[in-house]
Amino acid sequence: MKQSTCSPAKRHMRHGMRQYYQHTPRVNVVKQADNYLLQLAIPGLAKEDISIDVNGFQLTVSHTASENSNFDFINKGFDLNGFSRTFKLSQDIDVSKVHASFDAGVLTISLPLSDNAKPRTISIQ
Amino acid sequence: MHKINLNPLFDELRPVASVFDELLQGGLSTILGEGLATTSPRVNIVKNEKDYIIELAAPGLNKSDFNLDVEQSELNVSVAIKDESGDSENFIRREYRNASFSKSFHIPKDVDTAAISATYENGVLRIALPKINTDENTWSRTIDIN
Repeated sequence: MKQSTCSPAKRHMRHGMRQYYQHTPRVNVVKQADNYLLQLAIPGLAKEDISIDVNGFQLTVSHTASENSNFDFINKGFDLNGFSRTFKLSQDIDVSKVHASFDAGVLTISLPLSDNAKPRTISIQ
Repeated sequence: MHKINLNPLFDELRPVASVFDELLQGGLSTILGEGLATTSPRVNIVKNEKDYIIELAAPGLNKSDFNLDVEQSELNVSVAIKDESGDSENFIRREYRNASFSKSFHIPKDVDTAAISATYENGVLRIALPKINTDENTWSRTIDIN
């Protein structure tokens, strides 16, 4: 239980990058003209077990842990069962328009910029 | 009666050059940053009664990106990504990338190499290596001296 209350950063400091990423999905963030893309690598997990929650400007992606089977592991390099990762969203995102898609173990969350934050050209009158 | 164990030493299913991988993934990367760690896929290996299962975490690829070769007692999995850069995209944060890789595994002697099969689902390449003759234990046995 101590492990789970520990912040990811602390866990990372304590056990090293490899252990951190063994249980935490890697994330790419891409900035596009009118939105951000959050790409989470969640290999081996089913779409149905993933929840995406937006609370204010905080976005949490989590997995409903399934029962741990007693496999005889010779080598264990990844185990994302029951992960949770939270992102702080910047104020220029329209949180009501967040949507997501899933393909080949990659969860892509699209975070559109609010209309005020979108780039625009102002014509001179 | 002497029990002769025909299972040779170190004949476990394991990634070849695993020590080197360890060094790259666990040691150097924590010092040099994570660039090195992201190119080699993470691997689970499970030993069951009737087979071994290798799972490679390789999200975002297509089935056709993989090449699997068995040569003697080695299984090689490789992926060749043509456009590795993706640099046209503006990454604010980049913790993984789809990169080419080649990874070899030593195949234990109790595996029926002709029956090895693989599937790619949810970003995981799953390779099944069935054991030979799982009904009776021919691997470790006792030999009577006449």
